Formats: sequence, C-alpha cells, structure tokens
Amino acid sequence: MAAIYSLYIINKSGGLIFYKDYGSAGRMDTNDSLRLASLWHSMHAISQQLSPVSGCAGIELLQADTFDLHCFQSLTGNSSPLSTMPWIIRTKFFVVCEPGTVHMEALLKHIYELYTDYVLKNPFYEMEMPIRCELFDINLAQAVQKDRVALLAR
Amino acid sequence: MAPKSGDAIFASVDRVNAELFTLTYGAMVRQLLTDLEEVDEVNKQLDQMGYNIGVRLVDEFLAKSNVSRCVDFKETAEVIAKVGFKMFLGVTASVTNWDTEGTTCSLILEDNPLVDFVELPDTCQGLYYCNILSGIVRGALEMVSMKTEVTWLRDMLRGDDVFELQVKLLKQVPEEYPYKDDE
Repeated sequence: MAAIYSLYIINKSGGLIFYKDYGSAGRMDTNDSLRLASLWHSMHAISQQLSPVSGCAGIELLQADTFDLHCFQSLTGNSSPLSTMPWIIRTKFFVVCEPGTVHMEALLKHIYELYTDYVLKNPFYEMEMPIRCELFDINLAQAVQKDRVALLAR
Repeated sequence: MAPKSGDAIFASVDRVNAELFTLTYGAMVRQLLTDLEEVDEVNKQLDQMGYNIGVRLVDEFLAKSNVSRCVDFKETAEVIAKVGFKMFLGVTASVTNWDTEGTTCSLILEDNPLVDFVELPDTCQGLYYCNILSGIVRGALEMVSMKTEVTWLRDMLRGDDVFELQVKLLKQVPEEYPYKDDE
C-alpha cells in the first residue's frame, strides 16, 4: 500500500515540469497529468482571490474521500506577465496521498531542498523547463522510500 | 521551523578548500579578460553571471535557512548580510548607511575570500573584480520580487579599507493579490 500516490512540480507559468507516480492508485497518463497540473495552477490562483481574508497564499491542503492533496509553494516568484493577475506566481510542489497521511509538509519541504540541490544547481538545467535530472530522481526515490518506511514503522 | 543562523547553516553544508575557490574564480576572471579584452565588458559579464547564479541560489538559501518572509527591506538587508553571505561565502557583512526612506543601504565586507591573493595591475584599474557578488545579490532579490540596483562604492583592490556594496531598492512588487471589492 502506498501512502503517496503521486508527486507534481508546476513551474511559474502553470506548466508541469515534473510528475512521478507511486503505486497503482490514481495512475494517470501524460495528458491527464498535464491537465491536472494546469487545473490546479488555476484553481490555486482562484482560491487566493476567493479567500475572504486578504493575504491568502492559496490552498495548502485539499481533502477528499479518496485522497489528500498537499501543496507547497516556493518563496521565490515572478510577477505574472498577465495584467489580469497582478500578483506573484510561484513554483508549486504537490503530493496526492492517501487520506490522513501525515508529515507531508515535511516531505514537501525536503523535496524542495532536493530540488534546489539537484535541479537548480545543475548548470545544464534550464529554469522553468521539465526536470530531467538523474540525481534528483535518485535522491527523491530515497526520500520517498524513507518516508514510506517511517510510515510502516508507525 | 525556526530560522537558522548563518553559522549553523555554514557548519552543515559541504565546503571546498578556500584556495581552490579563490583560484578558480581568479582563473575565470583572467579568462574573461582574455576573451572580452575590454574591462567594462568583463564587469558586465561578471554581473550577468552573478545574476544567473543569484536567481537559482536564492531558492537554496530559502530552503535551507528556513527564513520566512521579511517584513521590510531593512530586515532583508540584515538577512542577506548575516545569513546569506555567511552561508555561501563564509563571512558576514554589516549593514550601514541607510538613507532616510529606508530604500538604500550599504553592505560592508571587511573580509572577502574572493580577493585573497589578488593585486590589480595598472591595465585593469576599471575592473570590479568582485562584480559577480553584486550580480548574485541583484538576481536573488529579483526572485523575491524586489528590483534592486547594486553597485560597488568601495573596493579594497582599489585601495579602500573595506568592500562596500550599495543596494538600492527600485521597485517592490506586492506579494499578495490586491484585494478589491469592485472588480
């Protein structure tokens, strides 16, 4: 049984730059994952506007019957080129996991650190482009594995 | 999670021999001088290279330092000087010379590992040897929505007693969605 179903990283323009499936539940083909990423990007932006409290940074956790979706944003960002969206757009990392899975914030934070180490510091990685970095894959697999072991131990 | 101090992060990251770092940077500047021939072009190129580093480095800085949003530019400058410089360069800077609006300040570096063995020859008097640093600061701040202008006011290689880097805040993009009822 997999605690984490899948992991997504969306760039500042809402494009999917990384997608990884873990386990069988919720498996998607490439088109579906791209669609989900851009949907989430827009929904996230809309949620900032819908919030009754000003200063809302967007949805952090979406809970459904069959999954939880945890979203983490980098602190860095660019102002959107669209005049209809005059605020800062950030890189988003999100995991879809089993309902009630804990410690996802810490895992996402760790994945962000791996991203800064093995993606951003790779001189041949072009910013905002799809992530194809083997070192990132390896370290990510280790992090997720460790998280799974920790979950089984609990 | 609580923000970490510059010393704590510096102790936990991988490091290389300081001389390897200094000599590599020196070799790079020399190669740029050979390739571009003009000192002004080299200054520009170093600044551009620094900018490209800064826009990537800032994410690592934020991920590993646990620093959250700064309340104002004053705090930002302090964090760069005390945490940022320490984390990546191993030295801390001090922040002084604030203007009355709080948008311009100077970062003073008394110690700078980049220039350990450097003496500027007469042919390179216009060279800002450490211009990569100003580019890094500019690039990093741009990614946290602050447009800045970063210039060297004092340079030990030009006979001053310290390095003084002036950071001027030109424009700050609001972080949040401007909440309006009538739209």
